[in-house]
Amino acid sequence: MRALIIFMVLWAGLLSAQTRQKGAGGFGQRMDANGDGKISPEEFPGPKNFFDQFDADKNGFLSAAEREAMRRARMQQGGRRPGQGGGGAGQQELFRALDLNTDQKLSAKEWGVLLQAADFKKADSQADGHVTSEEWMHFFGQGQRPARGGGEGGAQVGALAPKVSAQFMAGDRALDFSKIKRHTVVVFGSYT
Amino acid sequence: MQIEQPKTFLARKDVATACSVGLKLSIPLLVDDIDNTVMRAFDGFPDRLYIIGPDARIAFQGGRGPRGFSVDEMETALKKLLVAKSTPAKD
Repeated sequence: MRALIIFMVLWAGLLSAQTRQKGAGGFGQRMDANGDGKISPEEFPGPKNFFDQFDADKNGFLSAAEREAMRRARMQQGGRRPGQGGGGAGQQELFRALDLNTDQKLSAKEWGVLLQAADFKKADSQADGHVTSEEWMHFFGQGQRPARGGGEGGAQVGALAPKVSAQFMAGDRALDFSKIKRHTVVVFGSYT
Repeated sequence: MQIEQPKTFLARKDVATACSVGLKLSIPLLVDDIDNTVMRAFDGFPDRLYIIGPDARIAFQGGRGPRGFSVDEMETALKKLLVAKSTPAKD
């Protein structure tokens, strides 16, 4: 009996893109469908602003050198996949992204853009109405390991899955989580 | 590399496409709406694992990532669930 595994993209596309690449040119080679040694906008799978950013000579194609520059930029940004841990840099980046007024702390309103209000009070260990960077990192387990088995909000074991839906990346079909009829692993993650 | 936080669902799907290619995903990928409805319902931020059973009930809820995100823990739970499903109940 096989289980279905689906990956849920959350806040895709935050301030910086981070992917881990091994070796030079692998990603570019896979994109070069017609084998002409350069990547056209049609062959490039990412958003157009990605393409434009690295098309240094603005000739409408990504050369091997431009793809290498893209790869190096990614490597310098670091890379993380969901679950790989060491997410301190990513967590800090998210903090800065939510800190809309750049006062180095999150108000309840800023927190609520992405996170549950109930967790704000838990994170605000000093109970001063703001979550500092230190409190943020501590809350997300950089200082201590969270209790196993979830237990902090979300859908609890035994409960019916929330009646919410998400669209598949490909096509227009949507999945209603409350109507799942086979064992399904759901991976919540993000792509930054 | 700098990309803007998507402001529309279509823009988020574009980034999801890049994610799928960049991570070489072979599993189905879902994209949450711009209000993060599913993420909020499951409290899935920033990373989290769930198993939903064939009765649409939550069979496993993993810890919140990054430190609580454990593939091993989920895999153990999944194996137990699948074995239990395939084992006839004794009278």
